[in-house]
Amino acid sequence: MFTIPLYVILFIYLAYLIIVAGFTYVNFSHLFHSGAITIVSFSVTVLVGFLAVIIAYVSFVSLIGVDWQQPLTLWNNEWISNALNSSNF
Amino acid sequence: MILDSVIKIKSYEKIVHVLRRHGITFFPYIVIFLAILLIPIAVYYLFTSAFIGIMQNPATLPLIIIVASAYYMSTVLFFYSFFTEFYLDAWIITNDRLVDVRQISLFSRTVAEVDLYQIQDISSEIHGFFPTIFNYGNIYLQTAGPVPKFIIHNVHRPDKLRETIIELASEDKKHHT
Repeated sequence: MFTIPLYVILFIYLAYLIIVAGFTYVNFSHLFHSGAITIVSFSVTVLVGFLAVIIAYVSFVSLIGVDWQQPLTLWNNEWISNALNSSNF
Repeated sequence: MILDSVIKIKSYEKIVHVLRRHGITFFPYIVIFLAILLIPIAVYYLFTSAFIGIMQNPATLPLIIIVASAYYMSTVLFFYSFFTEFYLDAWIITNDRLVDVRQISLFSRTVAEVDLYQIQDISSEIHGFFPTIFNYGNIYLQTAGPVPKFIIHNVHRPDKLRETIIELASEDKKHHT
């Protein structure tokens, strides 16, 4: 049986959020340095930022009270044996 | 408008138009984006009806929430990237030249320019139901420059722009005879 603590997934998620923030900054930087900051592009940027904040907030609220120390089973040999035992040959 | 990083304006040069694709051509991307946002909701209803045990497991439920959150963040990021690539495609018309800025991907851009007096032939077209309704189309330019053909894609009022470019080219030719 192979398990990892649940907080490992949280760290991977936080690292991913940093990557997303980085690419979002690159996008905005392209718009800014190309002289493309207009009402349209500014509105889209604000909308994207708003959606990102909403997603992060809902995720945070949904994850309140989670025990991050609990183990998450990634692989268990019993899955294979249970599947073979339960199949009808 | 900060355009110095794209083109260097000469002392006698004035920007006449900064053209972008008509906004209606981005509408399909918005529809696709909204459809992609609905996928996790459909998967959620599938899971709650078929895999109730997974949704009630205290270890897998946070994992599902994190995966859904990452999915939505990715969708928003891809939408923003698509918009940036769409919006950074621009054609800058000055009284001296035409500059074609093409954002191919987030880290790839080409800039081509032609002096207006080198324009040999120009034509415009509007094809299709939505282009006719919203009055947008393409402008084709034949030039004597290193880039023989320029295409200005899906711009608003291509007929009027064609006439403007012809007038500017005629005026520019007077300074190069």
